[in-house]
Amino acid sequence: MRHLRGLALLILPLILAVPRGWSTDAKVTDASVCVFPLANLSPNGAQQEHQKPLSDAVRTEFEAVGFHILPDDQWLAEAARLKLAPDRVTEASQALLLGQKAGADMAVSGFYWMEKDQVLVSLQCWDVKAGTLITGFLHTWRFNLGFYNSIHVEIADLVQSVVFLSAPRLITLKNDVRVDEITFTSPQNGMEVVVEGQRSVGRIQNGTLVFQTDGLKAGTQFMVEKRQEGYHTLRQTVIAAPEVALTPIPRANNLSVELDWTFGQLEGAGATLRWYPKPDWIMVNFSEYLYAQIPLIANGNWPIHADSELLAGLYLFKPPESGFRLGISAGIGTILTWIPSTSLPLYTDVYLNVLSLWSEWRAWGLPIFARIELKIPLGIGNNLLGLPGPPIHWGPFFPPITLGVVIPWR
Amino acid sequence: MAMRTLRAICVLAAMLSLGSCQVLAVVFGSVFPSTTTLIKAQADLSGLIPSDSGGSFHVRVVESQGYGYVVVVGNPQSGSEAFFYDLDLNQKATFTSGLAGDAMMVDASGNIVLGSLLLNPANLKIVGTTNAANLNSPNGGGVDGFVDTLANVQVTAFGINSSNTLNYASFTTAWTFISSHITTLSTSLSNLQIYAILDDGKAPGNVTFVVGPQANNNTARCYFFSTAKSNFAVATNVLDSSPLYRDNLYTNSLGYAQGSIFAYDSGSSSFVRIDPSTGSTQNSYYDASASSNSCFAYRISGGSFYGFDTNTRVLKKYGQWW
Repeated sequence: MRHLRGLALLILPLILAVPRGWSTDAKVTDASVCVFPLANLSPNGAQQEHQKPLSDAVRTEFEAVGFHILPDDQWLAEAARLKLAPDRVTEASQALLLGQKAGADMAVSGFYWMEKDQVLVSLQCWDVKAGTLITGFLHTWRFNLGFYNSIHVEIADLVQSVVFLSAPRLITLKNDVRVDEITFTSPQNGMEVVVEGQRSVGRIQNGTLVFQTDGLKAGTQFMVEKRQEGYHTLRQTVIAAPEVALTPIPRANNLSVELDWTFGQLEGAGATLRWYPKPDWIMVNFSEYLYAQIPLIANGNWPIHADSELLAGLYLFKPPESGFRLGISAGIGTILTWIPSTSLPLYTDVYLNVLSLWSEWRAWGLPIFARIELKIPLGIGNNLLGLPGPPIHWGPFFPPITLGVVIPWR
Repeated sequence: MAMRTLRAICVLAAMLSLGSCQVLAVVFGSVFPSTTTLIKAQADLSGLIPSDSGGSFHVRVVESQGYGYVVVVGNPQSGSEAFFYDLDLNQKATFTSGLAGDAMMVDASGNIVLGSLLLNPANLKIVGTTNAANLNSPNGGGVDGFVDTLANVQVTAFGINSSNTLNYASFTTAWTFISSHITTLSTSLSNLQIYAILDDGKAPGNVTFVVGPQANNNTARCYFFSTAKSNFAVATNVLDSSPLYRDNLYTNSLGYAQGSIFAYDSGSSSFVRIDPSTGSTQNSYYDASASSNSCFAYRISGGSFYGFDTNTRVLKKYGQWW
C-alpha cells in the first residue's frame, strides 16, 4: 500500500501534463482565485502526505486555463487573526471571508478523507463577491494507480464548469476562446433543437445532441427552441460552452385527472376529469365528489352526499412550464343527498359555481393545487340548503376550500 | 432553540384546540346543516302554504290523552289556518277556514284548543268552542294557555301592553269566563314581547314566560320568568322578579322538553339546552348552518323535535340530540 501511494505521488506531475479535454489551449481568463489547501479529514490525521499533491493538483488546473492563483500570504495573516488553521479552511463562511480579504474573485476549498483503499474528495468553488457557491463535487474512488488520473479529470471538469458557469458574470473570457462543438444534453430523447428559431440541429438521442458551431465565441448567449410532437414548444437561452444542459419541455395535456379533498366535505374524496380544448390553458371539467356526513351524536343518521359539477375554466397569466399558475372556472353543480335507513326522499341541491379560483404549485413533478369557491344554492326541488341566500359554507362562514393534485392522463 | 420551543408550543396548542369538541365539529363540519344527521321524517307544505305566507306560520306540538300532533298553524291574510300531522308527519287534518284564531293549548278536559275550537284529540273532530276573548297566539312558541289544577281554572288569552303589564284571562274548566287580570311583568325592563310560554306539563307545576325586547333578525336577548301556574289565579305581580336571561337566541326556536328550555344560540352557532333554574347551558349541539327562518317545537317528553322552515315550507322531524 505504501509503495502504491509513493508511486501515485511520483506520477502525479506526469498526469497533470496531459492535455485536458476542452477545445483551446489558450489562457481563457485572468481572474484571481484563492485556493486553500485541502483539509485532511482522514482518521487520526493519517494520509497527511497527500495534502500537498492534491492541493497542488487543484492549483495547477486553475492555473492552466489562466486563473491567477493568489499567494497564500495574502490570506494567511487574516486566518491567523481569526485563529483558523490554514489547512482547515472548509466552511463556506471561512472560505468567503478569507477570499474577500485576499481580494480574490473566487475561492476554492475542500477536503479529503482516506482509509484503507477508499478515498473521498470534496471541492467547492465560491463566488467571493456574490458570496455564493458556483459549483463543486464530492466523489469517492478506490485508491489505486488510476486515482490521480481520475482526480485530475474530475478537477479539470470542475474548472471547465467554473469557467462557463461564471462567465461573463464573474470572469471575462478572452476573445480567442472559441467553442467549436456544443453538446446539448437532455433527458428528453426525441426533442428537436432549433438554434435561433431557424436552424434545426437535430433531435436528442441517448441524452445528447452535438451542434457544430463553426467556432462560436465562448460565453455567447443564444436562444434555442425545443420542440416535440405532443409537447409544448419552449425557448431557452443558453451560453456557448462545450456542454449545455437543456431543460425538458412539458407534455401538452389533452386530458388530466384531479384528485381532491374539500374542507366541509372532508369525510370523502373527489375526482375531476379535465378536458383541455387548448392543452393546459382552457378546460372543461366534470367532477364527482362523494362524502358522508358524520353525525355528532350516537344515534344520528349518516347522510351520503354526491356532488357533481360541470365547469369551464382557464389558466391565467403563466405558461404550462411555470412552477406556479393561477386559474379560474365557473359552472353548475348538484349535490344529491341520500339518508340511509330512513324513508326520506332523495334531496337535490342545485347550485351555481359562480367563481372558483385556484393556484397550482409544481411539486414532485405534479401540480398540487388549492382552490376556493363561491357556490350559490338555487333552492330548486327538495333541497337541504334552502332558497338562494348565503353561499355554501362550512364552519362559521368558511367557503369550500379544496386541496388536490392534477395527474396528466394523455 | 427559542424557535424550536415556540414551534413545540404552537403544535401543542393546536393539538389541544383540536381536542376540543367544538373545534372538531368545525373542522369536520359539513356544508350541510348538522341537523341533517337528525332528520327522521319530513312533510312538504309548499303546496298548502303560498311562499309569501310562510312567515305567518309557526309549529306547535300538542299531546293529550295519548295522542300527539305536530301542527303548522298561523295567521296569513286569508285567515287562520292549521295543518295537523301525527308525530311521524303523516297528515291528519287541515283547517283552512272557520278558525277564529291560531292560539293552541290543551284544556282541562284534554281537548285540543285551536282558536275558539275544541278538538277531540283522538280524531280531531270539533267538540265545542271556548269563550276566550283573545284567540290568537301572542308568540308562537310553547303554548297559549295552561290549566291551574290547584285552582281548577284555565288561564289563557295572554297579551302584553306598552306599559309592560301582562294581560290574561281565567276560565272555568268548562270555559266559562271568570275574570281578566293585569299584572306587572317587570319593573326594570321595558318594551318587552312574549316569545314563548313554556308549560312544564306537570300538575301542579310551573310555567316559564320567555320575553325580550324587539328581535333583530329573529334574534334577541331572552328573559326567563318562571313561576307556579297557581300564581295566575291570584294575579298579583306574579312575574316581577330579576329574571335570568340569555343573549343571541332565535326567538322562534324556543321550546321545553324533559325539564329544560331549548333554543338556538346564534352566538355559539349551537342548539342549546338551558337549565331553567340557572340559565346556564346543560348541553349543546353545534350547527353553523341553522337558519333564523326555521321555527321549532319540542315534545315535552323528549325523543324528537320539529322544525318548520318558513321559506321552503317544509316540516321536518328530528331525533333527539341531547
